[in-house]
Amino acid sequence: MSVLHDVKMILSLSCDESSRLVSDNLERKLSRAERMALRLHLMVCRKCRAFRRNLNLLRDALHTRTEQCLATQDQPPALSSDERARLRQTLARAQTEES
Amino acid sequence: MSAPETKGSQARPNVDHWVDEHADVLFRYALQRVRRRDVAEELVQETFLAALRSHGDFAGQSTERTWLVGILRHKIVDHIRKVSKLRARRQQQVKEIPIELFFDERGHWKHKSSDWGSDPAVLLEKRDFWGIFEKCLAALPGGLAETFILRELEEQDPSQVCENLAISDSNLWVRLHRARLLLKECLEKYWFKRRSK
Repeated sequence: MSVLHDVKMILSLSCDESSRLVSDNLERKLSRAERMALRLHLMVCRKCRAFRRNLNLLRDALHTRTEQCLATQDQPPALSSDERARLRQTLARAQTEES
Repeated sequence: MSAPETKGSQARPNVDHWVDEHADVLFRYALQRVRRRDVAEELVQETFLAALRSHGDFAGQSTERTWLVGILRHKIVDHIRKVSKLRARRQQQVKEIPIELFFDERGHWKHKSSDWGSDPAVLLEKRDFWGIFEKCLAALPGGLAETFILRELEEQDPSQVCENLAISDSNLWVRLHRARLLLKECLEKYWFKRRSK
């Protein structure tokens, strides 16, 4: 990437480009020019700030949901009684076959 | 702590107890990631069958639940890999989501953004938030949904996701960018706007 390209990006980052950097920032280390461009843009753009905040919030909420899902037993959705019966049957059969 | 002699008792695990204690949790975990009841049911069943076969390996280092979830997660990733491979073989391209859907010709956001607040607990308490989230996730084109699920629900490293879906880094970044934009739009349309009325 040329210096000219970097300078142009830093001075004129648009929201579509900024949203891409906000997303990429969760995946890879941004270059120094990208970081600078993004920081400048976010200073003046409320919508892109909101986008970044919302993505972080969603990531946290999904993480917590998984933890809760694994820690609690009785929470919907659960197996139906049919599905549960099928499961018991299959496992019982497998266990008899094994022994 | 010295390990107690458990060989005898491990020979025959109590599967009824497994089902009582863990089946619903495993099912829910799988359903969030494969989004089809029949597939989730099958994966839970395969998990228990695999657990039966390898019960001797369960060292008791972790809890039974953690051990079972570990098996299930492998099954889920295998399933997603298969689905993704099948799509590639059928030459179904992941649908291109044009950036113009979200931004005007000058690159500005087309739609208003709402502030979702800063406390994830608020989202977690509301059951219908997750109902809407599931619908929005289901509405993503196939390749995008799988990418988002491996990355944000399974919390795999970017490199792992690339390997599992056989895609490049830059493909991963584009897919996640589009997935996040689509989810944002969908959630704002059906959840956040409705609430702020």
